[in-house]
Amino acid sequence: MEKHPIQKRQLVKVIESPVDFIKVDQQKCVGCRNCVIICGMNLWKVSDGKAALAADYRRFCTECASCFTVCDYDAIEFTFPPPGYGVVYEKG
Amino acid sequence: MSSYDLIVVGGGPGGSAAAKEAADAGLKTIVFERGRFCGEKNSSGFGLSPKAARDFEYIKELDLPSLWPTKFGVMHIVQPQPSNADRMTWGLTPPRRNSYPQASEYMVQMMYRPEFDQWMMEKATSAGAELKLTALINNVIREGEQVVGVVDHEGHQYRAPVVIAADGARSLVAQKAGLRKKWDKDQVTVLATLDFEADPERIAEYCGDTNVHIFMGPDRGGYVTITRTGFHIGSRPAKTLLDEVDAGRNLSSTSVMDNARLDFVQRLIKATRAKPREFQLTHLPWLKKFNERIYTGGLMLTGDAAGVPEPFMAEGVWQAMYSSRLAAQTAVRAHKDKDFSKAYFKQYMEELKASPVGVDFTAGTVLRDFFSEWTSQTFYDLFDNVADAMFYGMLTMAEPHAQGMMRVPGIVVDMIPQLLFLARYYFPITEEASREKTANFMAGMRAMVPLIKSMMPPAAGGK
Repeated sequence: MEKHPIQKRQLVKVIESPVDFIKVDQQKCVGCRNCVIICGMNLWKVSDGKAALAADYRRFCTECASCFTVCDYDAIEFTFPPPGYGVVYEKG
Repeated sequence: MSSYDLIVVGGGPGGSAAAKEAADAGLKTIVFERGRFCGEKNSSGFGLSPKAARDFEYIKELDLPSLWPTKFGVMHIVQPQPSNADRMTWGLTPPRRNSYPQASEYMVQMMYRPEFDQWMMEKATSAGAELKLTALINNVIREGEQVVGVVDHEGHQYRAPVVIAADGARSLVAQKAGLRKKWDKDQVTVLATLDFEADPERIAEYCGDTNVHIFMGPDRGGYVTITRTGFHIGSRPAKTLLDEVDAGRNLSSTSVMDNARLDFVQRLIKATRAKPREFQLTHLPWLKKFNERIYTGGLMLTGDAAGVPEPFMAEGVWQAMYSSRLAAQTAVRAHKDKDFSKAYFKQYMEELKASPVGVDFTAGTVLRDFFSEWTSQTFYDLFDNVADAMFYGMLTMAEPHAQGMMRVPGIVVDMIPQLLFLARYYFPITEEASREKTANFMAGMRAMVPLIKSMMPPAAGGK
């Protein structure tokens, strides 16, 4: 085992957005798991056959929009956090 | 409501290049950036190619704390997992054969994006462009099909006869203007990078002139890019989101952690007393064909919003700057001609398609497939055999040299499948560049066959 395993979640700087910027349309979602597979921050899961975002996703989402792109059923709506919030890349 | 000659959405290198060009030409220009500073939302293992200095006079003045031109780069062929050792490495300086001076001076210039993006924006604002930070443009104003302005997150309206949208891969402007709903899964890749802070003195001591490492092996690959003040470990953009979803795992974002465990990366981390500092995920368009849906009445898309990153290694900053400047030049002409129609802006698309940015897409399908193969077993076997032929053949110290040399032809025969594999990609790509030259080359090779036969030494004991 490594001495210092790298924890992704400790290494993302995010100013938590006060509002939701990703929304799932429960009518359209078929629970295909594409969003679960693609999220680099592991913020999605499928429960009861529907995609669900982690309750604290606004603290870890890097706004890459991969979930939005891979959704074949247009069930995911992705905008951006309001300006001044969201991911901060100081060393991008 | 405020009125401008040109609205630029997005304060990355593309937006800045457009705004500087337009402001220099006297257009009243405003740039909107959703970050609190330019570059806040941008990441990559950022190397600016020498093309930027060739094409943009002001890039020659670039001077940043982290800036480090690459005079020596190292390629690693990494052993199959679970090993973390190199199978072979080789390092090299920029090539001698080049068409312009900067290309022989450095391969790329490494730096951090916030430093570069802010430096670029300073060029635009000192040319007279207005910058509005923390402003998210999330809609366009339309009159019929014509885009005549934009709306920010607070509902403020801004009008201009021309809008340049350089608002990135997930372009809200492109979507709201009806140019694209979203990228197809096969048109996008995701790049994960892990930034390390490190002691600048130790970086200088340990790395010398070497600040880029590219590595590949069976089912693994990525890069390390080192600046004066820290470094990035990156995943490879070798899979599209479609590949990842089909395979049921996201190798792009998980492989970066495996990459940090490679032996040479661990040595770098220890020698420079490095600590992980930031984890980054970037979504980037990676198209096989040039995207023509990048304009409509009053609107041009540039940079990632237009899908211009090249189809091989997905380089995108120079492409963003180039496409954005072209769009700004078109906007200046449109003001002179007082024509902001869709038909008029078609010339932007056509000029970009004929430019070096567009030309890189002529062999796009083969280029992208070839790059994906870099992490295949066949590619690994090629280098594995090269290493054996060179070191266990010619340079062996384990047995008499003559005996080692005897082994070389056998290894070369073993390499035939891998050489054919290379040829499968090489010829389609060069043929796209110049059918005539490829045909001449092949004809030349055929003409040389009798000559080569006549030069063959007679077999031992023969006439």
